[in-house]
Amino acid sequence: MRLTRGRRPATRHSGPSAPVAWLRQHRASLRDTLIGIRLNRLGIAMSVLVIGVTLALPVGLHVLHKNFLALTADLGAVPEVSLFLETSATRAMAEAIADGFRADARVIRVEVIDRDAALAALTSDSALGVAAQALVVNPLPYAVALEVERDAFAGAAGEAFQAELSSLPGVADAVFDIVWIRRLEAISELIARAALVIAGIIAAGVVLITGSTIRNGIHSRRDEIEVLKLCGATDAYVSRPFLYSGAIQGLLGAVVACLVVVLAIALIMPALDQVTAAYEAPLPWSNLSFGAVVATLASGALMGWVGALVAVRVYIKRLDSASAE
Amino acid sequence: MIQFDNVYKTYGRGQDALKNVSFTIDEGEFVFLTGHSGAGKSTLLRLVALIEAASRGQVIVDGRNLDRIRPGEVPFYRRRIGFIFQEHRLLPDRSVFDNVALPLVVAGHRSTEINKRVRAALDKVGLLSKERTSPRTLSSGEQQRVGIARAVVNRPQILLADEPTGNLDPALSIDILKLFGQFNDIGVTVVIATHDLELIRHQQHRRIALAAGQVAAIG
Repeated sequence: MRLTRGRRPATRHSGPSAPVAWLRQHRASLRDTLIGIRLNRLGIAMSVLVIGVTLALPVGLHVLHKNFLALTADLGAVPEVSLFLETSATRAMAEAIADGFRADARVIRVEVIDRDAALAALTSDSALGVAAQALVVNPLPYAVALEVERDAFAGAAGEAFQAELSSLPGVADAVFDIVWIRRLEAISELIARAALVIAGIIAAGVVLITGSTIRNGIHSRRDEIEVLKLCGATDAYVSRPFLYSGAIQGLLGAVVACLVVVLAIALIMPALDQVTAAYEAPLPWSNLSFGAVVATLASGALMGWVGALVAVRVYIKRLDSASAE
Repeated sequence: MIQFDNVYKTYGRGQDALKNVSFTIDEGEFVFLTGHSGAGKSTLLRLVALIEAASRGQVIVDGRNLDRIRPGEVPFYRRRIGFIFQEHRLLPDRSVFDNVALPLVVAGHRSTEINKRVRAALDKVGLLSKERTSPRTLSSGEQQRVGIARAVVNRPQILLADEPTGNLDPALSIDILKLFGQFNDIGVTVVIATHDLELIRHQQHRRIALAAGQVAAIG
């Protein structure tokens, strides 16, 4: 020991510079984390599996929702609008109205329906044909049929668009064929909302699972924590290995969740192929995307970290008050 | 260096572990804290190490009133104190070297510095050859010496030892006391709590005797 005799100054430098020390402390914490994980392999493996299976549900729902969206888009589900003009309207007026939409980005297709053509179509209809033949004058007006963008009627802008179409000069009636699209959207919204709610519940579950595992870890290493604190370890230093451990558990759990979802898709695939064959057209089916995997891993790690943080805040403090009694 | 002014420590149901304790220990002094078990020796040391706080009165260490140390500062305060337990409290899943290195690792020292200081401390307690072994394979006396090496590795100003010879035979106990004497020789303030009056009979150092939480005699 190279101790020097006599009084040391009260402001004696007690360690290395803060940022360097901080980095070294983190390295030491990582080592401590690995020691902790090694000591509690079984418990951590169990919690990783539980987290993985639990997280698989919202991740699976996400994939389902994404595919549902793709499927509805592929079925050509676009809203249609029929603008029936006043009976006095001429073809030129109908063309003018149609031309007004040709440059509109919200409108995919515009078609003018000729009133004579419409009557001919009605006459050839087996059910209404006889009644139509009895007509002396053609009561049908010119019409303009529009196919609009899928989300053209969404939100406040959509409502304004609808109102604009209904109140066009010369238009007697605007009929919006969007009910079934609304239904599809409602179902899609339901899946998305359910996924969100389930994800919320499950996030709380993952936080609790890691919190509980970390609490056990803290309990089984309480002697070590006490010794570390007596050696001058700060609460942050003592907490760090547990926080790392929580984040690692969450991350590994998320990896398991992704694997479970990929496996589940692989199991569902043959049945889906049959559906595809029945439709005689390839259905778009996308697997878990890279972005979704990254998001799952990040949120898994975050949830694990939060769980560990809660456990550490509660139990390391409790350890303090216990040792003071 | 350590000053107690009318210090009380009261636990839960009004039990006084320390009652109106006052004394002063000078810098660089070597003091025995004596008394039967339950006399309040451990409590007194725990107050100095800020493991717990006094209920009433003032504890002043190195000119600082411990009352005024904020919780966030406690770890940094403790880095200037070496604490040795009767049951030595080594971590069984780490090597002797890693145990001794703890205070330095916690403070974030460079590994070359840690190597140098840990080896010096182990050399001082005569256990350099055991640095790679597990503390579990060591004898009681050796484990206690590892505990001492850990307490001094950070070059503390104060060494507090709670019954450090409690589990040792007389010959080993005297060795341990000699070791403390050597640290005291280089200026470290040493406070040793012991109930073993026979062991310290021939020691010249000052004694503070506690009985039922009160100072019974000083001298």
